[in-house]
Amino acid sequence: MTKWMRVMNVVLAVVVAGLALWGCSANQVTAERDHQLSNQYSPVGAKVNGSFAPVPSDISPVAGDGAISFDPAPAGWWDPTTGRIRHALDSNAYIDADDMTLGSVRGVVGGRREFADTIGTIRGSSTWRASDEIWVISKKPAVAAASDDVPGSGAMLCVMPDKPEHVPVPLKHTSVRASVVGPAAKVDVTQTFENPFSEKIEAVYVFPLPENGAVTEFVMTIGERRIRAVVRERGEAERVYAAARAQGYTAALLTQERANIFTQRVANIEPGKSIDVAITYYHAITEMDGSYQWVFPMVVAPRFNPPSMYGSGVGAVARGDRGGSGQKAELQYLAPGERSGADIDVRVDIEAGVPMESVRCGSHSARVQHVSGSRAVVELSRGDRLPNKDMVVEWKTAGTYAKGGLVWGSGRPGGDDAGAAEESFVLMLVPPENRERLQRAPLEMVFVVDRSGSMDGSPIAQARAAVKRGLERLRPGDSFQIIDFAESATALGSRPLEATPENIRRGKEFAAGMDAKGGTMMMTGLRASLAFPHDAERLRFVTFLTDGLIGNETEILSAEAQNLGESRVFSFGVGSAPNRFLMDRMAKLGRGVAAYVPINDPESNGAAVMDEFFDRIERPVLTDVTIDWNGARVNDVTPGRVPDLFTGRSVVVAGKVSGGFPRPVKVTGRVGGKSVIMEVQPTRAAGDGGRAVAAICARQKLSELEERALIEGWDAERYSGSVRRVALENGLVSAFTALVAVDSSVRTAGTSGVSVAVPVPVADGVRYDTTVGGTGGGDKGRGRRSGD
Amino acid sequence: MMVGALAAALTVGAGLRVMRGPVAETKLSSAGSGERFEWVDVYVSGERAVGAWQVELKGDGVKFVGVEGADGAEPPVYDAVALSGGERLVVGGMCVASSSKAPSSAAVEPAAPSPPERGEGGRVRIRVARVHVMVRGSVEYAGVLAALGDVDGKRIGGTVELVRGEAGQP
Repeated sequence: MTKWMRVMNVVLAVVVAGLALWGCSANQVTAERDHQLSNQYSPVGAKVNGSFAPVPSDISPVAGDGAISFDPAPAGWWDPTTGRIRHALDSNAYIDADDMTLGSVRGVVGGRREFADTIGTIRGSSTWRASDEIWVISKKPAVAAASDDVPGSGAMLCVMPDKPEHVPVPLKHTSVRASVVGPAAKVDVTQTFENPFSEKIEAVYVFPLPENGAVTEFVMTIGERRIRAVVRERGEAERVYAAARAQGYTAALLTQERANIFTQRVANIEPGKSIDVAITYYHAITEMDGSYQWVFPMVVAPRFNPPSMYGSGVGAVARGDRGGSGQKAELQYLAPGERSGADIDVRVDIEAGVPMESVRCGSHSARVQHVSGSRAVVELSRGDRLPNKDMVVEWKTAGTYAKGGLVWGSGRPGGDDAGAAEESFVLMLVPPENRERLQRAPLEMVFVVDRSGSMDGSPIAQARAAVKRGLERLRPGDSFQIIDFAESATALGSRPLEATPENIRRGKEFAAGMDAKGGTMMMTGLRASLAFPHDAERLRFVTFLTDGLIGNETEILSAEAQNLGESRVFSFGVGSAPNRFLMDRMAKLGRGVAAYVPINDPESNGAAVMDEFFDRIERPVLTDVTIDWNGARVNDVTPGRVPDLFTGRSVVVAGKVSGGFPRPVKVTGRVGGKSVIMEVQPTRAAGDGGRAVAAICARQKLSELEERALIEGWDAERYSGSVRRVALENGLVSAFTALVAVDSSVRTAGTSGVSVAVPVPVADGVRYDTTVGGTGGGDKGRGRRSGD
Repeated sequence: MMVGALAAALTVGAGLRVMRGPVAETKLSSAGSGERFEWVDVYVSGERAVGAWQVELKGDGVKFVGVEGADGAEPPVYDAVALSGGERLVVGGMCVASSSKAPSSAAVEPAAPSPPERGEGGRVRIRVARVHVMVRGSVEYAGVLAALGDVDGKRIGGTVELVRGEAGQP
């Protein structure tokens, strides 16, 4: 592209921007932006009052006199009052301050991905409102040809001009069949992929599974033929899949992007043909405050990827903006008003083992059928099959229920091999019920609130309500601090405030003023919350209220592990599809517990969950927990040290045993200064039960490795080697292993076809325009902002 | 019930250790160049109708990339521990001879399952699995029948046979 053309682009951009903005309200701006986008214009932009987003190494910034230009240019729009960049890169545009009549851009550009620059003022800024966004728009370049490397869409996707509300997708249906027996669940997820197009395709679907799920089985069904996938090292599986795809064989590949995000690829689906992919996973069902929950996540909510995650995050782009995030994995999101043809049906069969008091599904409309006193079947209603939020089924057991249990068995197929060399076990520890309240020590409460764009609406309202209630529960002698974060962190004060009526009033005012906007620089909030000096006279509790929709979970957890000190971290996952992996891990690392604040459950809200938190910390904790295995030969026990047990929260201990358990196991601990001994009767599991035990045990081992790596600072090689060994031996999908299946029987004709992504709706309650990147705007795609 | 118990014991892992039954070995060559995909059909022959089986398959230059049941039957299971130690696929399953899903010698596409073949002396030969493989260059497969049981849950003698195939050009 010549410089002249670039200048013309900018002129066009500026004119369009001017048309879009002058005299407009924020809503009008947004509408105009969407209109322009729909007319094949894409945003190109800059940012003021801050630094440019980090730009990948293939961008060559050129500094001139009073101007900065990029070739290709960073795309986006800026907010003149906050200086927040809201979009990322476009390769077909050019910015030159001399041509920008709306403002000037000048400063010094340097570094490879870090830009230190100062930006001039916007001329004519008096006409701008604080909430306005300045857009510079240029003509969108032609859609790039489908690449083999990045999940996304080919040109065939999303071109439905006559029916914009309906989007053809290769994922036709998802069927979920869960069987819960006591403390373990087996879940079969069958995804039906169908090619609605006239040529061969590869379907790519990024989807969530529970963070503690152990994915062990994967069967591809073509017609009546069923092919079981084989576990491989991830790189090897990807190579096998790529070769099969290139040679025309039907193949399927399941990889893990995060502990709770997976990518499913199915290659060489011929026109009109359908292929089923069935995934089986197991997970433990833990007790939460006297009730049990089965959660099935239906959608990956858009996540913010800070600069450090460039290229390795999970990007969020608008449907059709293939590769727009620059991330390793990418989700395409349906715009508001769009509906994919895919739907979902869910059936959960619960055998509690003891009489059930109640069964409910607060997240969705569902039919509950009581089969017997201890068994119920829950089915998702036909009218509520839009997969845009976590499905949560909750049940309570009546009267005295099992307080923990120990099961062991073999995970090897056909493994009813009593007396075998080594089997797996899972011990569920439930603290004894104790309603006694202790004279609690003075608290130092740190409320940390995420006010990034994805929290806009109900989530931030719930977070505000939770903080307000938390402040009301403080007592004289306590102290508190409130920290909120988005792009940066702000605090109510420079040090913890005494819980006086005046300070509590200030705190409530501060909380009431928290608005959700911008990216999720959680690291900033985390550091701010753990960094300031600890008052040794008080117990410090750090409560994180966030949806956790970020891509740098490992960085966050690592920082938490390194900076935890005397703090205990309690995480509160807010929203319809929070990042439960992050919430659970933060709490576990922080010696606390996680809780969830749904936005669409009338029986639960931020204030109620905060009340439960205070109730919990005011009750005795089972400490100094030790286990007497009573003659059983156990090894590889995780966690290595049993954590304190809070009332109402169970803990899973897993490991290997040789020769089974000859006698009951004794668990001892201290509650409120008194010694407690619990005796747990072991039970041998057979068949599927044994496989469930082995899978849950192996998954727990992977979690333990992850935590040790974070705390002890393992290098990547040691960590990946350890995970790889455990995952391969147990047939598990992990960050370093994958499941691949190839049908070598039939070779399809023609090239491997374009890659078609399965676009998904944004999570319920999450705004599309503030979270989805690519041509749709938003900050969750690349989020290449500096300042972490 | 008895069939189930023995069948379970015969299958992967447990069977290999607990009751190492009839051992029969076979070899199969595949000539070619470059990286390509092919399949190996696994047949077992028993003195009587087969209820459960376990076969070990290995070969230099091969990568196992899928395990398929015969005629739409449940895909056999494999032992991840064995595979993690090298390219050794220990695979096994159960058969219910009277079922319409009984393994047969049927090839890829036919929908109707074929009955087990009855050979000399009343021996029964059935296809129990198709193993999908990625290979490079010329390779030689080695198959070992590690365990075989009849539908009554009794150990029986038998042999294993491997038959190679590949998809033609589309």
